[in-house]
Amino acid sequence: MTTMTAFLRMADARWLPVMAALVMGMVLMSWAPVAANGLDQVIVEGVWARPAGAGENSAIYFAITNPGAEDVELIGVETDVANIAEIHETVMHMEMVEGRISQEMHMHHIHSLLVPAGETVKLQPGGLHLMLIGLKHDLEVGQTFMVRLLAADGSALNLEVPVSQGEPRG
Amino acid sequence: MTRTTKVRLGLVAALTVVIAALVWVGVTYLGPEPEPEVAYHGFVLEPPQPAPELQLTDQHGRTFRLADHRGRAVMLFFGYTNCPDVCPATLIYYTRIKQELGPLADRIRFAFVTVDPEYDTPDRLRTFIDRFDPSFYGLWASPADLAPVLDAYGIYVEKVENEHSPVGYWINHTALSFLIDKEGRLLIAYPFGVEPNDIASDLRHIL
Repeated sequence: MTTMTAFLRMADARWLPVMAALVMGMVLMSWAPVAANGLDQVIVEGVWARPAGAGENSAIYFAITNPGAEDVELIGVETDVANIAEIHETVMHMEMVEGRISQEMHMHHIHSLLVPAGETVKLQPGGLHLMLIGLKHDLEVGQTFMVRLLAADGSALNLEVPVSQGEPRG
Repeated sequence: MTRTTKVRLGLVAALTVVIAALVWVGVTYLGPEPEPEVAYHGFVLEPPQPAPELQLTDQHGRTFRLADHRGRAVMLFFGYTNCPDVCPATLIYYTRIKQELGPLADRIRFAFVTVDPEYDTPDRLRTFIDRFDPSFYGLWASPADLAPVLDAYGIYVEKVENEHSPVGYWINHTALSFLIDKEGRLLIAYPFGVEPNDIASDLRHIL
């Protein structure tokens, strides 16, 4: 029996679907776009950090928009400008108690911040912010420094942050 | 009644209605505008009570008393200098309000009272305040003297240990800005987050 005949014998009905599937798979894989890395495509606007002295802490605020089809999960922040950089959230509780306003704010460290597909998340005073803890030098109005945002999917984004007394206007 | 009388009565009635209608139209559309109700942007304290007196030390070592500021409004906030977010943000908002008010800002004083007197000395308060506006007051009192003030203003303070803080703790606290008017009465409490423009517009009404 020739190899040819043996080969042709193999290509019977049972094998055809498997072969077809393999071929299709290969075609599709080469067609599919390379998975977009989350932070490569986000838009960050209005970034600023508050001035503070060496050894103290500061906060970075901005609006982050995710135009992609996949959610982006921010899990960390790196910077040379402070000992620790973390994502934090300030939360306010407010209620009327016997005709008096009872209000209190507290802050906690959050481990991941989701920027859902197609949405914008705003980091602003009194809410979400990136905390810089233990500044290595003074941050003065007019300076800029770099931070690196890290996402769960492994992507990263370098941000240039200006030091100012408020959101850049105009 | 005769027919003529009935007709006359009818005419008088009609005339009365017409005159009444004309008067109503005149008053509603041509008369003096009723004073619009001012809608303030925070919690209006009704009726306004005299603001509890403060006897605190400012960042230059001088005594601060509300009584010394009659004729001027005072914006009062309780916080601490290691506060990562809300306290510095409030002071930034105060600088914006001051800008918004222009020359009117002369008639208001901005005061920051520390709820962490053990760490925030008047000296430290001075460095902190200078970062925003040296004309603001950074006020200090010993824990014993501070306690009744916190009580009077309903300020909740809770120290929470946290290894990530440069001083080993964060403080959860009430973040309300109190507006005290020129007569020394507590008028409005603004929770953190009210826009500086809105507060400035309220101030223009009372200054």
